[in-house]
Amino acid sequence: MSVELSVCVGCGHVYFPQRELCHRCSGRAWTTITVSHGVLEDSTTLLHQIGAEPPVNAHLGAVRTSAGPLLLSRLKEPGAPNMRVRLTQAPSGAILGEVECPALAP
Amino acid sequence: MITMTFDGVAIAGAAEIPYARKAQGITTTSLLASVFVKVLATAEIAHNEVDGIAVSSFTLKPDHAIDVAWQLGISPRWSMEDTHGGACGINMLQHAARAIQVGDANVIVILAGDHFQPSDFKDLVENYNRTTRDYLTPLQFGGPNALFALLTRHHMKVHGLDRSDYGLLCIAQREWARRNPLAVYRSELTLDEYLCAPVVADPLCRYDCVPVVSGANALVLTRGDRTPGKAVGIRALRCLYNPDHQEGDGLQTGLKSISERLWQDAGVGPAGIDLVSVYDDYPVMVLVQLADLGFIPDGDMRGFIRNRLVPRTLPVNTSGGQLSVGQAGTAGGLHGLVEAVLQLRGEAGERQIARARFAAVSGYGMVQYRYGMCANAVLLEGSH
Repeated sequence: MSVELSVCVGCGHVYFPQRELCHRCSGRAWTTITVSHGVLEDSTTLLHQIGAEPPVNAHLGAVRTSAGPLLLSRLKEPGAPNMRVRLTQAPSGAILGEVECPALAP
Repeated sequence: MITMTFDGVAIAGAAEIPYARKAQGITTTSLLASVFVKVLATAEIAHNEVDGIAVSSFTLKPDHAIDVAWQLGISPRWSMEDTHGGACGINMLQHAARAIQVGDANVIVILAGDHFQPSDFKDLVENYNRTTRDYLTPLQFGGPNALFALLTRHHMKVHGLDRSDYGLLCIAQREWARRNPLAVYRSELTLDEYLCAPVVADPLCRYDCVPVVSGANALVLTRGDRTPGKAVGIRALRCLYNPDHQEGDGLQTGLKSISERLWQDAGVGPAGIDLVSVYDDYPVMVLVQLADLGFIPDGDMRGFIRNRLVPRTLPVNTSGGQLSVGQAGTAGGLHGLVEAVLQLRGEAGERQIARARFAAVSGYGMVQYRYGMCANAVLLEGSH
C-alpha cells in the first residue's frame, strides 16, 4: 500500500502526519494523495535500544517525497543519501522503505 | 498597564536532589517531596508560607499537581501543571513570575521530577504523543536516539563536523561534571574512549545519549521585596513553540526567532554572559541552541568547540549537563535553571564561576514527528 499524504483543499499544502488545521491558510478541508517513492536524505542504524537485546540492527531513513513531506521510514537495508526509495505503509502505520537505486540528479 | 519586565520577582532558591540510576524504594512523589523540603531550607522559607505550586512530571500519573500539594500539606491559591518536557522549567518560571507580579501568589515552588521503572520509560517513549504512538512506535525505534542520530548526521553535513567535534563537547561537559558531586558520571572522559564507545545509532555513541536516572529539581519564587541578599532576578524571558510546523530541518529552534528581542529585553548581549545552561539531550542540540542564541556569530562550530567550550572560556553546562549528570525525565527541564541559580547565588562549590552575574538558560524539547517543538530562554541576574 502506498503512503497517503494529506492535502489542504484550500491551498494545496501537503502534510504528513495529518493536521486538524492548515497552518498556511487555516483551512480544514482535506483530500489525499499517495506517494510510492522518495529520495533518501539521511539514514542511521540503531544498534542498542533500552529493553531490547542487542544488536537491534534496525535501519531508519529520512525520505523526501516529491510532494514535500519528509517521511521517517524503516529501511529494509542501509542506504546512502540521494538513493531512490520505494515506500509502502504497513497496516500498523509504519512506513517501510526499500532502497532501489541512486536517484537521478535533479 | 501591561507589564513586560519581570520586576518585583525573585528566585529565592534552587535545589536538586542526587540523581540515581535504577533507584529503588522511592516514588516520583517522594522525590518531589524531598526536593521541596530541600529548596525551602535553601531559601529559608517556611512550609506554611508557600501559596503557589507548579509541577512537571511524566511519571506522576494518575496524580496531578494538586495531589502533590495535598501530599506536601500545602494549601495553594495558585496551581499549575506543565507538560513541556525539556522546556518545562522556563515555561513554569514564566507563568509563576507573572502570578507573583499580579499578586495571585507570594511564594511559588516549582517542581519537576521523575522516577522511572524500566516499564515506565518504555511506556513514555512509545506513547510520547499521538504521532509517536501511531507513526514512530510502529517503526520499532524505541525512543528519540534514532531521530537525533538523523539530525546529527544532517548537522555534520551542513557544518562539516565529524564525531570528534561532538566528542570534545561531551568531554568539556564531563570536565565540569568532575567538579560536581551530584553528577552520575564524574570520571575523566578521553577522546579515544568517546570514539571507541559502543554505537547506539550511528553517528551517536553511548556518550552522546543521556543516562536515564531518577531525580528531582526545584526553584522557589517570591516577591522581590520578600527576599533580600542572594535573590536572582529575571532580566528577560521568551518562548516560541512550533515555529516551523515540523517542516524545517530541525537545526534551528524557536530561539533563533526570539533571541534578538531577548537580548534587547535584557539589556545585555551574549558577550556579557558569565555562564550558559543549554538543554543537552544530545550534543548536537547544545550547538544548535548556542548558535540560535547568538553565541556562535561566525557559524564556525568547530572553532567554537575548540576555542570556547574546551578551554571553558565560555562556561556551558557547568553542572556537567544531562550528558554527565543524567536525565531525570522532566527534571531535565529544570536542571539547567537550577545550576544557573546556584552559580548566581555563589552556591556551586568547586565548579563556581567567580563573580558570576549574568546567566543565559535555554530549554528545548517535546519531539513531535522529527524534532523538538518547544524552545525558550531566560536571562538571569544574580545579586550576591
